Amino acid sequence: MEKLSDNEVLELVHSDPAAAAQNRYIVHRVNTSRDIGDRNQYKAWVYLAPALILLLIFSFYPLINTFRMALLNGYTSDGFTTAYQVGFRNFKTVVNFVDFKQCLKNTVLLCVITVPISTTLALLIAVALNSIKPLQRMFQTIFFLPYVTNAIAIGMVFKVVFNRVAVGDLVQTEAVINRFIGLFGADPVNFVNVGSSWGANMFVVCTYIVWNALPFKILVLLGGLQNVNKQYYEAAKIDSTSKIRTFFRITIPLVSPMLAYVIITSFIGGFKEYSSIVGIFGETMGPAGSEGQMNTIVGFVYKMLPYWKTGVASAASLILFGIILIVTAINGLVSKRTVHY
Amino acid sequence: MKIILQNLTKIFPGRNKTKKKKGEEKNNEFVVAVDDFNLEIPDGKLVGMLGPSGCGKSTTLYMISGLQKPTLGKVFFGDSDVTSLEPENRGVGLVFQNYALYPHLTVKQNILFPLQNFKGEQKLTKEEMLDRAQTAANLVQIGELMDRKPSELSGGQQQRVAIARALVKMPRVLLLDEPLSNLDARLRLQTREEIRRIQRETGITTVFVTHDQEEAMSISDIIVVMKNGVKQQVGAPQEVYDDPANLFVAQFLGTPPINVFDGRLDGGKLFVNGDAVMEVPSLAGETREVAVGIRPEAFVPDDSGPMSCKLSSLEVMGRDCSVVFTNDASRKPISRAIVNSDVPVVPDAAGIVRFTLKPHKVFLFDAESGERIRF
Amino acid sequence: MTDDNNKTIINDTAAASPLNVPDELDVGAAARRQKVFKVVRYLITYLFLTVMALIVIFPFYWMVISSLKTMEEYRANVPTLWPHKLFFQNFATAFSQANLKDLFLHTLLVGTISTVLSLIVTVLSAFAFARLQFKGKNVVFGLLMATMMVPGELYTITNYLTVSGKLPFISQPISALDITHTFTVLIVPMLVSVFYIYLLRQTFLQIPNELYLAAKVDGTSDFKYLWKVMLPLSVSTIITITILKMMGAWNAYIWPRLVANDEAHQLITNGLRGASFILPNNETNYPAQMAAVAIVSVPLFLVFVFLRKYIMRGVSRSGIKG
Repeated sequence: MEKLSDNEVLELVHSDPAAAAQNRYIVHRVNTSRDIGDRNQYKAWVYLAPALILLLIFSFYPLINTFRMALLNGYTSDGFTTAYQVGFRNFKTVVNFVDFKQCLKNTVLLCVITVPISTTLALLIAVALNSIKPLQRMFQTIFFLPYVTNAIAIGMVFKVVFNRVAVGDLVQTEAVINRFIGLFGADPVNFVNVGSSWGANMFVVCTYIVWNALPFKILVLLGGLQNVNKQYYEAAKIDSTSKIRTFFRITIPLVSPMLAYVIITSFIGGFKEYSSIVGIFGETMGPAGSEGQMNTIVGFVYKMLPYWKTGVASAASLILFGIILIVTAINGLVSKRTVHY
Repeated sequence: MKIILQNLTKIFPGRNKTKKKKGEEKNNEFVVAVDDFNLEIPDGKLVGMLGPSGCGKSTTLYMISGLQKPTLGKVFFGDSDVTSLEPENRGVGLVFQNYALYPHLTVKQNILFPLQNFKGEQKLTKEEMLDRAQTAANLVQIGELMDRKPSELSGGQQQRVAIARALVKMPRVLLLDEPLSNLDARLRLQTREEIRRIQRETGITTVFVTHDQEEAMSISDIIVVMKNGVKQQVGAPQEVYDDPANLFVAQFLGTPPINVFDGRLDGGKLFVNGDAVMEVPSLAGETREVAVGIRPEAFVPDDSGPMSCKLSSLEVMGRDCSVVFTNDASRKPISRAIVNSDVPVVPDAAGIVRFTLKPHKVFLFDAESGERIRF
Repeated sequence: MTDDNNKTIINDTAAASPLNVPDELDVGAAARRQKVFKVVRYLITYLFLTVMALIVIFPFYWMVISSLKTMEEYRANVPTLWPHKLFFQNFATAFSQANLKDLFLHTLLVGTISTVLSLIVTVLSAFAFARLQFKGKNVVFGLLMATMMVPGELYTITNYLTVSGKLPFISQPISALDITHTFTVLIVPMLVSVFYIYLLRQTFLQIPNELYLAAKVDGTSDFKYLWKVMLPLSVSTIITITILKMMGAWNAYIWPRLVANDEAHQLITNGLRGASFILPNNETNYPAQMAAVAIVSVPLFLVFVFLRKYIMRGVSRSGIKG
């Protein structure tokens, strides 16, 4: 077909739109004269290139490689063996590791214990903060204070708070916490020192995680509470609703989206717990003499790396990924039923 | 339950929240929302509080409910002073302007909500609660919507749920804040009749707030007209319409609105634009400028009538005919008369129409203060 | 029928419900009860908040006072709640013992370079996603978003191999490829954050399209438009990303620990964790350790106090409104 000027194309489209739509030349002409911003497809890829290349090397390739390593039986990266069979042996190895069972147990317990406690406390604090006027700002600042902290550094502080100064077996100075519970007549507990029990360690770690989780949760929940229309509370007041009933029947349902968000993020964070324990116990992941007593799944993964047991480490990290996906899915299902949006 | 408002006053701190710099003098601006308001609402009446927005009518309503505390003055329910009582102890029902239905509860749960708060002797069994909720729902004709969520209802339906929720606990007093403002015109007509019916059936003393005079006039036993926090007039709608206390009330009530002219009293006659439109023998001794309010229905076409106006247009609306005219003394560019369409309105060659006036539809006001001058 | 029904029920309940007994409201008693109730409620609320606030503050407090105690006082039989004598020497000890000066410098270097590079990468891709039209845009963006779901540990394993030269497809370890123990390896693998791209894209999207069209009409190039119009309008998000990225370097532990845990490249957090405060008598010098912890915490406090709103912006965007 001969070349047409813009005006001729326009005329054809006007005179017989149906025929023009059938005419490939006209369709092509109309399509290519697109709006500004649609031209120069390649340009967008130039802008994206740095990010995409880096992501390919450091995110997408590792993702695929992790599956590959996990599914090659007994894969190691020491470079001596090259032929591997495909199978699930790495997963079996992980699951049969005594260490891993301990790690799994620790991680699950950390989540199950800390998420409900920190969420409940944060909700109570947020509601209390929202209900007062004098000193509200002061309390708010205090509660947000631990929001930006260094997990390792503050973990070391928690260690000191729970730490006894001892020379050998002789306790020289009791932990300040033991002094405090002593005021109520409780016996001192060996929280973090040599010979301390798993339960005592767990208590310290959970306390730290709850403490650390509070500011973010208070922040989110307080924001949610402040967005609730005051009229619901006024209506409840008019109907002589007790404060407790108002809390359970109105406040909680109306902030349930924020609650769901906070719970899901803290579950995910909980399953990836590692730094706070390093902060308290160091890389030994436990008190001296009981190393690894407090190890977690992430800790397990990193422990495997220097031994080049990357197949096992990959399998473990995939198990972690699976757990997180399942927990997220369960959370999603539960909140679909209970959360009011 | 009789309600008495005694010297009720509400002062809000100034609204401009700009941060004051140090050293700058604190200038406390106050807004007097309700100013020394006195009112006695007899038991079982439907009272409409009427006024332009910002006149303090909603604040008054909130003070009756207890959600806002008066700065000065008292609220009595019957003989008891409830001023210091929190809203939960007052036993009132309140329908919010936006209904404030709990979005996460179904209609049934919303209506049951107040009943579930009863304590001690008042406590009801589950069956009793369901029974009462259903009764209340039937009363407002939403019995079939009980399992829906508020978001699945139309505005009118939500409004009815809100009323049912307020009624179900048999409140001493039912308060409605602009109950019809969120509805479309057709629903508004329907719902206001509904409110009147429900109020008659239950006999609960009801106060509602509106800025729509037609709404207030049509269903209230008593209307209260407010302006700038000050009560202007109280009375039965017709009474207030027929005998307004001042120019503001006269202008606020009636559609089409009253026509206002600059006039002059001289020797027992009322002059508008040079015409001696009416005899006012009782004010024979006074010579002064006045504002003349003439209701649209006061005009009677009469070729030899004393008031002459220039005809702009005629709008025939079935039984009635609306005569639009201009008059140099009018405070508005055009004025409007409503006349029976049987009587022909024929302008003369110059386009002038003439009227005689029905004296009881003409009101005189002080030209400055707007206070009524009775004759 | 309905009407009759209504009336009878309403009359019945009217008799049964004390709410409807007129004129016999015991206002005095109700007012007194409501006053007592209010006071008790406020007492409980403030008590609860105060106790929780003390718990929240306590570790900070203990960190500060421990860092100011002498070893003798720290070792004292009964822990003191305030040091008898403020022993600032601990801070000097901390500085030399933990080699804090070098750690600060390393962290500052790595933090600054990675922030600048990361910003460039982020801005370019956010611009492409927000403003340019190209085939496969939604697919690519969706893929990127999906990576946010994956725990970082999955990437770490392979990245660790990559930088150590233990590439899985090459049979022999190639020591020439071993770039661990360099600053490069601390910076490059962490450059792209999908979250920042998302954050900035959202900001860019809020800039009205008309501005872009107007610029086009004036003959402005895409890059100039990005530089002269979009960036100035997105300053606060850029600041947010800068702060978060710098804090990331400050708090990074796992990756630096894995690939660059030598004295010449250590970053502040793993330097702090690894530093030894053992005294000659085999005791740990906790006061000095706490002093080091306090020094590491101070910049974070300052950021929190002065730049809180920028951090909050990142937080609020990260989830709720998603």
